[in-house]
Amino acid sequence: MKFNNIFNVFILTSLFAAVAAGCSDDLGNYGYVPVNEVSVGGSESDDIQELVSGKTYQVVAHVDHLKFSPVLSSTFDITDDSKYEFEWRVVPRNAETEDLDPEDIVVCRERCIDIPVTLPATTYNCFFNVKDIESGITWSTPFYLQVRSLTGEGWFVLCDDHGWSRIDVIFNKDANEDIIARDMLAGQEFDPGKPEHLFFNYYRYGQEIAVLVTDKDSYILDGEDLHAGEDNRLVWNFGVVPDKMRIKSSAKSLYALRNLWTIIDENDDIYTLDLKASGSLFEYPVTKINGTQPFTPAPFIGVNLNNNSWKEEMENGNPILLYDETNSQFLVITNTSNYPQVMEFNGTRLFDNPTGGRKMVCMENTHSGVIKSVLRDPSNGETYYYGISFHAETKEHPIYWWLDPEIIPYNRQAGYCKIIGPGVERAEKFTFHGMFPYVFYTADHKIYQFNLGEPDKPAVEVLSFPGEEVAEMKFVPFVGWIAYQDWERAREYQLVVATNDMSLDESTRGTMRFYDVPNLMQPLTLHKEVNGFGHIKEFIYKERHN
Amino acid sequence: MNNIFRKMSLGMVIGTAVTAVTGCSEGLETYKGESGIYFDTIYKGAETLSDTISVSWGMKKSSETSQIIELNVKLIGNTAPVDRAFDIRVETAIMPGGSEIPPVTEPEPDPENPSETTGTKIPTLDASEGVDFIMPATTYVLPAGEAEVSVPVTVLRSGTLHLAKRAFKLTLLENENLKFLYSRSMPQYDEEGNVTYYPMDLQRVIVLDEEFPIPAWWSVRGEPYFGEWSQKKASLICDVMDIDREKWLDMSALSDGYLKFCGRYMHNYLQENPHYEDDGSLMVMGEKSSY
Repeated sequence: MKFNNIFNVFILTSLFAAVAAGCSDDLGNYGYVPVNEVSVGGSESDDIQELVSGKTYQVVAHVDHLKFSPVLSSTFDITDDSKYEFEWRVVPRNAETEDLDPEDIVVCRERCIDIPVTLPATTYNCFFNVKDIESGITWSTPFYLQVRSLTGEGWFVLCDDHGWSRIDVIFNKDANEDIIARDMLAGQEFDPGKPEHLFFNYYRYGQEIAVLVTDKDSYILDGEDLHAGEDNRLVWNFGVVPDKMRIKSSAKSLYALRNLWTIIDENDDIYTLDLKASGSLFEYPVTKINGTQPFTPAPFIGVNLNNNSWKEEMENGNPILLYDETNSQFLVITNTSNYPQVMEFNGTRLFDNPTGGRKMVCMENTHSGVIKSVLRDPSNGETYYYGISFHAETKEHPIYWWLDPEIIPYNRQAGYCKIIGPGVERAEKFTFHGMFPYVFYTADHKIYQFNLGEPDKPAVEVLSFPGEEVAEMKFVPFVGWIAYQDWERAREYQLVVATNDMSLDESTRGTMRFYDVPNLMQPLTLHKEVNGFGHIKEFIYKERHN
Repeated sequence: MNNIFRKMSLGMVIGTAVTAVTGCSEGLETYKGESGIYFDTIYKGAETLSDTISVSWGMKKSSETSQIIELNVKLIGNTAPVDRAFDIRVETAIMPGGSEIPPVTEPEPDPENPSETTGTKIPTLDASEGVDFIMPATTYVLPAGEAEVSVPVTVLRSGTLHLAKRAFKLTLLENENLKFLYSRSMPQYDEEGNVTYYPMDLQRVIVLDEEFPIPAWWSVRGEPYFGEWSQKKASLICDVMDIDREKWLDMSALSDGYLKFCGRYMHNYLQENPHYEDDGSLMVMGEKSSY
């Protein structure tokens, strides 16, 4: 016992001595030298925006400058530029770093940068690096640059300018400022023909397309310079290349189990292209019900645009809705059928299919996923709204969570009512608000608003354009998988009206007006108006792809 | 002293000259023996490892039914100032199976692996002159001063080549001017396993076939659109769709979408132009194309 005590005391004393010696030895071994910590904040000029770490800056290629004059903050109060080395690095977000030459991505070596943006339209990871020459330490301020281009997005207005297919672009630089670019096809030698239609079909993976249709042919406008030429004729997408292909309608389904690009040509033939099989081509017309019964389709194609959910019930529905004018019935191309078949519905029944001889006046794909149609009884002019949505349901949940459930289509009747109001029986243009239950239609140079939520009340006149013809009027759903800013997204709920003043020359008679649509059927307010277009035929909003 | 060096140099020059002159007249041995012929050991840039030359039609379009192959006959020995003729014997009765095509039989179970089949083995039968090949001549001339001569043979693509390969043999015949002096040897085994050697470069066996293998992608990507594989069907698809056969066999050259279109196109084509498989059944495309 005594021995143990002596031993313990010895151990403890030794440990204490070792710890004490360790502490005393450590003192003075660390070279705690304060470093000059550098950061940026503020801007030298009020006219130049401040550089903020992590912020995304939008610029327009060939229009804007990349312009910053950051103010340095230094813990040593060293703000003399000569004490530092600067570099501005701009790296495409999806670039493979091993492919990049460091010298190529450094666009400036001064503290203040002011260079024109000539970069391709995409998003860039950027860095403002400040190297303290004395310490060798580099202090980095990361930010993002989203380069937009006048050809990559905007309101594309198709005008007939004395037979020339003129495309003007209204580019929304921000919520209040626009850039107007006139005649984007000017300068190209190839004459695509007299304009008829302009379609925009968004699709994921950068496969969005704008298709120009003229009296000669159809062209998929070039994504970079928008040219329409021999090289981008639609016919090159056919396995058996036709002499020409003029289409009445074009749509790409986004959220079906089997997505199809579907077109209807001038001969009322329907063609489909499987978007999920690489290198697919348009094959043969599928304008036969179940492959046997020919029919004439209405020139409209319905697809689901709802991308609000990843739930399988919101996706995996059928790809294509059509209307059979011959037999007055809705048709569907399913995930497994090659030919259209008569549509069958699940759940609540609001209307019959066939529709009893009614003709289709219009069909709109809305962001809610409901495909909204207007049908008219040719015998009395009565006009009806039909809402249809492609859904899917889980037929059977698997025993184990890692197995995929079996999903089956579930087509719903989402709405039905009679539209009443002045001139509705002869209205040709209808459009549906993306959020409120409003449908607008044009008749006699006027625009009327009908509340689907109160179908007993006739439509009311909301806009009038005496002396002008309404060329087109619609809400444009913004369906791209893009982190839109709020003001960008808000455009989805603006009523856009294109008119032509027939008393003016064909090169200047077109006007585009954007209206805010308040709730509770309150009066519309003019948000902006742009003049100077040619004879407007149609317009689209071409969404950027990132 | 200088004189001594001058004399030495002169002597070295003279000595070298004498040596060179005597070297020319006595040191160079030239061939003074007989001359011989043999089939070139190189065919299409590669050394032949047997006496058999395979001519495969399968990778060519069906519209190509004739081609000329060139066999080189080479000289061993000296060239001569005069033309020297030699003959080639053409033999067609060389295969034990004769020339009759046996009936198409179902594949039999593989005895080593009963769940698999042995596959249909394509026999090799005797070729027929005028049907499978044309020899423009049997006597050829090794021109004066030349050490080789080309022997062109026209080979033909008969309609039944996919059912049986065809073979014929060309044998050089020696004469007093051109004898058999050189050949590589080829082992030959009899039924008891005894080996003998024969001179393989004095003859060439030409085998014609229609081999066009199944693409590696067929079972997964092809069958839904094209159905069950047959060489006749694959050849027809390539011919009608104008697909290069090398490209057809490439795993990644043809996209899924294009194969899908091909299936659909061929389905329509066969509706208007019925074709039949070798067993007499109607040629059809796969389930995904037959609508």
